Amino acid sequence: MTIDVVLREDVSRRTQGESDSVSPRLDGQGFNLVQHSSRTPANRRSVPGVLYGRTVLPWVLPAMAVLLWYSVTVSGYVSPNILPSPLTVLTTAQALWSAGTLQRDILVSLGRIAFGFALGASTGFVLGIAVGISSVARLVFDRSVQMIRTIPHLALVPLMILWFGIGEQPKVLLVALGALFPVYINTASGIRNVDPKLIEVGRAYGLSQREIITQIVLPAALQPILVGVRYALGVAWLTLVVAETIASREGIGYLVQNARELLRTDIIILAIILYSIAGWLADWLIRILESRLLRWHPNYAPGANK
Amino acid sequence: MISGADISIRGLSRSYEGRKVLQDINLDIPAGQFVSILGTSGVGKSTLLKILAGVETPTCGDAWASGTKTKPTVRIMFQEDRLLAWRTVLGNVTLGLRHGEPNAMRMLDAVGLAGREHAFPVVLSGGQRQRVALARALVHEPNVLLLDEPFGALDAITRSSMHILLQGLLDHAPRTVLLVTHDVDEALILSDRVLVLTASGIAADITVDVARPRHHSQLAEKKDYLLGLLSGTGTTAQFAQSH
Repeated sequence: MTIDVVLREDVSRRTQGESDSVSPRLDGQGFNLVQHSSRTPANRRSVPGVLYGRTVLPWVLPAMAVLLWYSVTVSGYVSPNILPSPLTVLTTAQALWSAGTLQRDILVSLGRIAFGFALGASTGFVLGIAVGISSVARLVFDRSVQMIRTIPHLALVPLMILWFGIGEQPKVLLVALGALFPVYINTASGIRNVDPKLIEVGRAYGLSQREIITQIVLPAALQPILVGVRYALGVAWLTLVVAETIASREGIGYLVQNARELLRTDIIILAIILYSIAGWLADWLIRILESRLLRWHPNYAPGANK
Repeated sequence: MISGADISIRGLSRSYEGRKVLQDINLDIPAGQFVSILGTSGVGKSTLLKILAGVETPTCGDAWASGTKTKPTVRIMFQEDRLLAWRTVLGNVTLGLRHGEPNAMRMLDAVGLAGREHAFPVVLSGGQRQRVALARALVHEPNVLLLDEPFGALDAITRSSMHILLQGLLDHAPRTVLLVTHDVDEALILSDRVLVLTASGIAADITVDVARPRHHSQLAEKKDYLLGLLSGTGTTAQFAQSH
């Protein structure tokens, strides 16, 4: 009997927020059911405790890694030529910064990523919309785009260098090519997977074709599109690293290339750290974008666990 | 003053890849009448509404609404609420509405959702979501209101509160209403006229001339008649469920 009541209460909680209707109260009875029924996230821990955990926990592993790195270098277990200590890397960063080269290289790399990504993502987005909406566009473009997609775009590096030299174009173009496909695929399939019933609502409510696209189709496909953007950003960074390492006169990749020739492990490690910080920042930007644009979505609503 | 529109349907048929779902339907509905359409699954009840809503085209035949000075407004409400999850309650009600925010707020007030206009649909209960969908349809002040099993997925208590709400809103502003339902009780409580649709056409057309508010005991005879008719058409199972 009691178990039955508990189960039903549990079910009523899970069904779309209608738990305000009936929820049997069993205080004063012999069974301790309060523990069971108060297992909502808000009650589980105090609010400051949760916030503290959210801010601190993600940093535990990186901090431990740095600590480990420091201890193996300080103890002399690993030679500084193989792995310089964190302090050496920091000093190198300072030196490069005051010489003015570090910020120049960072800016050059950021510029390439910005141009390339903007070019590739917007092309992929426009193409994806066209292919998602129009069956004619799908017949014209989809096969070709999918074929080009199967070429590992980094294989084009030598060709790009022959065609464009080692100036800015090959890097920007390669980054664009890397960013194009994830955005394209997610936009096209996101649009094609929009519930036709919602489009029917738009037609029944007198929306024009354009309004249906802007007010129903695109918002409905927004989540997969943003997943594509996030993935594209990752691919764009990867492409940049490879393109810059192979042929460059400036940028973080050039820094690495130069450091390798001078056997400066500290600079190489500095560059790797810079890449990872940049990648993390980009991801963080996208996540802010997601939580703004998808705040209606149960998985992205404020307070939802990520 | 809003009023209903007359509906005329002549020789209407619709088939999907050779399978006929509607066959030669002829029907006249005078302005302001509340008509329920009963019938088993697959006889084309929803298709009929979609044709009237303009989102489907008939294979042959005509359906038109007339009797209003301007082009009659037709709005449809579905069994699933079909709210746009990325729009707030207010944003959903103003869908396709130009400069209609004050009206939308009044409508939300009328369906009992004042104060929830900035909530996103995800936080609403099933009944609240259908109220938003009803407000979304009614805010256009349609001459013809099409209801495609709108309360079918709701629990019994929420459903009867929706019946009372709908009745109250229609008393205020009469319109022509077509309700598709599986529920004989619902049809008898709400409508002026009940049609039974079968694969071969309209099998019965009865008038419910009982003053409102109605009580189930006043409708027992008609209910028995309709249930008998529907079970005679071959599928009793889904109607047996509601009793």
